[in-house]
Amino acid sequence: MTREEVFDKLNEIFREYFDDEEITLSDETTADDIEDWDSLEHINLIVAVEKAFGMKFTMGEVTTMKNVGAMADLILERI
Amino acid sequence: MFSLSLTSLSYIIFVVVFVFVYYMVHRRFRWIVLLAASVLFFIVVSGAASIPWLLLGAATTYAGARLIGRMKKEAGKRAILAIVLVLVLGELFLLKYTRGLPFTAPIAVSFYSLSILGYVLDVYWGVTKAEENPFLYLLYVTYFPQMTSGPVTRYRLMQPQLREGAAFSYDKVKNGLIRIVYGMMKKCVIADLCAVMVSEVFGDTVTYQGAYVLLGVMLFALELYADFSGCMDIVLGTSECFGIELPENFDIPFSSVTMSEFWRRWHITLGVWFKDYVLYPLLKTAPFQKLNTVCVEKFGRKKGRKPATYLGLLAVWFLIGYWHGGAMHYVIGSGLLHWFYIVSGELFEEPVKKLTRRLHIDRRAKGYVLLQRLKVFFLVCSGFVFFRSETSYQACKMLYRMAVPFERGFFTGFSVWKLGLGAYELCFLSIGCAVMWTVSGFKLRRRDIRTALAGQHAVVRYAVYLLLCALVLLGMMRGFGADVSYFIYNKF
Repeated sequence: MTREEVFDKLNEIFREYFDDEEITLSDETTADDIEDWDSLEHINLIVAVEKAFGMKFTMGEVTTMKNVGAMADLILERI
Repeated sequence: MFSLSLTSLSYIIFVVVFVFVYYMVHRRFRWIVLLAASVLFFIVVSGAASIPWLLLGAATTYAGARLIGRMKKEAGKRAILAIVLVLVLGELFLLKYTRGLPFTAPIAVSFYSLSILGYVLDVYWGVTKAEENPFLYLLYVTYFPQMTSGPVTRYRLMQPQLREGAAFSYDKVKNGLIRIVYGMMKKCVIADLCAVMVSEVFGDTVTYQGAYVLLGVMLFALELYADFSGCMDIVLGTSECFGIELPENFDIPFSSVTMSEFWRRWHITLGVWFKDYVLYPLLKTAPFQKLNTVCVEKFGRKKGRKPATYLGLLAVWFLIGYWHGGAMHYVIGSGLLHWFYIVSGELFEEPVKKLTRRLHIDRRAKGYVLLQRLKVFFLVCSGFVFFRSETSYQACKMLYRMAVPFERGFFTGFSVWKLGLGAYELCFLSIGCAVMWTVSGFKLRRRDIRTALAGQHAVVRYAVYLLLCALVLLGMMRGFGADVSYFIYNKF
């Protein structure tokens, strides 16, 4: 899977999760950029990503992930 | 033995002496100066008798993290982590929540216990490497500015700063000292003056009712904020003098428009710690994920995700309340009540949005924002009633007496004078509040008042510094009947 393909899939997951077709992710996207992405939604979103890619993030990664770019890098390392 | 209370002159001298020595020695050895200062501070403030307890927590987490770092097998790592968690939490429980013990707990045990537990969990999760140098690790545990009421720190952010030491910066030392004096002003003027009136109201639930109780509770909110954030100003200011950046614990909390926002602005490091080390791991466990799946199937994607999260939050808020002192009034006032408000806020968010849209109310309008801020303030105050009361029963009694019709004389006859302060003290309190209000105004606009002051004419600058010093000295000398050396959060 290329980085672009990972981003395409992430876009799909985020749009479905937040029920918002206008979401377009970039490397720098953070929770501040998506209105409904708050600390309470964070874990469920992470689990949705894990399920979609068939991999797991460690708790350390969950709490230190800086942005979507970092998330994509971790996914690429695991799949 | 001399006192090293954060509001004492001896504390200032202690800081100045060690800042001087810190920058005099070579940068490689600066952490050793900090360790010496921290051990001395601990012995003076906590007493030598509590050293074994401190060392037990430090040694357990140091050794546990080293073992976790060396082990290859996951099961072994998990077993070590479990042992460390049991030992550190067991020690915390024994020292803080068990009554009638024949020994005293080390200062700040509930704060540094969280910091060291976070460190071991970070090592277990691979976020940070286990520290090899036991003395450098001891400095992380005992770093003296935070050994009163936190903030709760992260090892990965503190270790490089402590190990490498800071290059001397005149601006940092000056700004640190200004922040210390500002913190002292908040404590000695605002918190201590409010404390007189608050004690009067909370000490006599028979005489005071209606508006008195309401005023007493609002003043307690002001007292607690000035006390705790003032303490943090002294702590962060002290650390700034050493060039070590500690995390902020307050970010103008009473500007919040929702309860969730309030908790992102009040006691920030505690909330973030519980989110990262309790809420997230809990929500990721199999039972919570199973509950999530079941609820999503039953209630749909958006609504179905909520029950598991709210249940996780309930556990977290119970623990946050319990952490404050183990008693039921803390569990309610600093825990469960806030959970209820946050969850209610979440549940009513959409209906309120729809209603405001239908009524053509601009949610960004100043009046609406002000109303939201007042709502948050009064909700927070209701929790403070439990926090300040001795028992949950007294808190309920206070709330009941607040509901009793206001005493007529309160508004017409200025019976506020009965609350123990004269015109001079109230005037003094007003000046203190005006200073705090001005500083908060700058912060709200994301500007640092100290930088703004630096650009002013020397006369203006020194007039402000003198005003601050005068307020602190007058506050310290008069005492106002409250204990200037006592900070509310020191007991946790």
